[in-house]
Amino acid sequence: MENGHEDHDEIQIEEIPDEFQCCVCLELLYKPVVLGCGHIACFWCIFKAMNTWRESNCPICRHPYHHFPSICRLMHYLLLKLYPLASARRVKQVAEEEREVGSCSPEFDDDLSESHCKTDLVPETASPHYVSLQKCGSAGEGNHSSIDISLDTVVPATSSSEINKDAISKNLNFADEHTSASEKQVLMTDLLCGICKLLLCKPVVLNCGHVYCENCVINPSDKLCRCPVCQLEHPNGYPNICLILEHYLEEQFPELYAERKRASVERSDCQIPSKRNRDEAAGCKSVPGFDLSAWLTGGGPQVHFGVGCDYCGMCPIVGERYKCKDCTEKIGFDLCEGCYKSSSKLSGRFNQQHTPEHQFELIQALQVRNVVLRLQPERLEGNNSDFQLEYGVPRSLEVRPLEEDSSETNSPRDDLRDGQVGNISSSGTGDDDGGREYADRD
Amino acid sequence: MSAGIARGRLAEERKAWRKNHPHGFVAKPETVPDGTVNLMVWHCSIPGKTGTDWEGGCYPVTIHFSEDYPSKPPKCKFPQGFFHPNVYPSGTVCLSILNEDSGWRPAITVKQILVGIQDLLDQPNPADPAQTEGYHLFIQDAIEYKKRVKLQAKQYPPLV
Repeated sequence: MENGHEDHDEIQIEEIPDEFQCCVCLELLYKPVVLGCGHIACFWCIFKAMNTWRESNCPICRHPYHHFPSICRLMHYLLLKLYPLASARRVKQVAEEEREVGSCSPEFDDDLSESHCKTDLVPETASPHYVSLQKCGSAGEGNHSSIDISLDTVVPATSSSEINKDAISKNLNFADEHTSASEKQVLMTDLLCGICKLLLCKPVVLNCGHVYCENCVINPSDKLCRCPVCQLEHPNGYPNICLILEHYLEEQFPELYAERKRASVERSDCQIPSKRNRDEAAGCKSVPGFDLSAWLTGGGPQVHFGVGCDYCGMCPIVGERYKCKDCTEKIGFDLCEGCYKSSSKLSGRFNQQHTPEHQFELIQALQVRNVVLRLQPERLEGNNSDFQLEYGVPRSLEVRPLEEDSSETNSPRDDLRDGQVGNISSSGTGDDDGGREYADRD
Repeated sequence: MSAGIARGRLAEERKAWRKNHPHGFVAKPETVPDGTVNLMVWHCSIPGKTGTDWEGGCYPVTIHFSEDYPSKPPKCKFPQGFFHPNVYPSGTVCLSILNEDSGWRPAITVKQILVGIQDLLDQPNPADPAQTEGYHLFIQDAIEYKKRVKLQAKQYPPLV
């Protein structure tokens, strides 16, 4: 290698093809997350590139997104299998970084394949949802033949448990001998769709990190798709096909994949909404009415800058924020309103040791006016009548004591807090007076 | 809050560049007088495209990366006073892909930046002028503009 005196293990590391290189750190993808546009990057790379103030943009295509996706376990295990040496190096490297920063990324059971098979395949008990999904699809098109197709896809499900068991034992063997990295180790059973239990075809990765065939999970009668395993809704319209994963499937299982694709064409013609509908669906964001300009002029819901929801990944949290009082991790544990009210029990995004017994408290966002004054004074001068209307009214906020004791917040919030204090002292008056004074100036 | 990934990424960029880079381009991190390498500043050279008035020149560009790279774009500078409608008098390049709010994406590599600047040389963007002289000549006096460009190409001969 280039310097001649690189680490010993660096020399024998596998060559990583471009498609499995993270576009941000340019190293092997590690704990990959897949955005709604279908592009992939490492967990930490996406996290660090996210905008804590507003929607973030995909590092590859600038497609806007508001939810930090969960790690795609299927890809994670795939990469561990394909590149054990490079992965081991990345594990070490990232662990060191995490120690420095003091935050963790989610840990998975090392018993890779087993956990994948168990968690990512839709359990038989969840099948009512699956059936209803299929029914919606076929009812929508009013075509009898499609029912047969959906029945066909159900049939293998019964036998697949045996296949899986078989696969598990095989995979465990591979895990033992980890050393010889050959693509042959990757089995079809590593790449099954959790719904049809066949080889993935036109794979899409949902915000929760689960992977399904596009045809299986997208339900045209519904404007959004919901993960049948974790019941989380995929925000922001339909996800795009993850082309890197699809390309890999095509290369790895050329005949099988071609056959799967052929079979799916008939269904997709009637099932998958046209491009135009998709764009419409993408337009109806699942973040209720979040619009930065409306918010800045005082209209929209409150926004918690720099704070993300640990279930759905929405960042910044728009609307109500519930903070766990009992989680001691530096990064904290927060939920958005929707997730707080839902009964799902997921683990935190950063491996927090959150348990259902923990208590939450409702946190008010930083006061809009102070942030606004600091950020966009010139913008407000044009708008001051609205501004006065909104902020002339006293708002009951018991925010400050809470915000001040949250010393564990990360830096963007620290900035905010400073800004808030600074503004208060400079105006030297209470909230309402400050607002009026500013508005009167024009 | 984070131990940024800027240096790690730049080390990878350097590896990738050494493996393969477009012909005629130079890009290397700065060497500080004490002999160590500073990955945060790169000295580069962009050849003018053949067949254009920029041909024959190799234009020096310095790229300054911040600790926030690649979340934030680097700053690219020609020498002060460089003649081009989209180059500020200080030498800073005004290009959409280098603007955090419009075109920058963390996936853009040094190679893409340099090729992007090479394209910009011969295809200035009159909608976004950054200096008066270059801009006015470009839209008002094509002959004089051409002359100035060719003169500048001679000022920056390739370093062989």
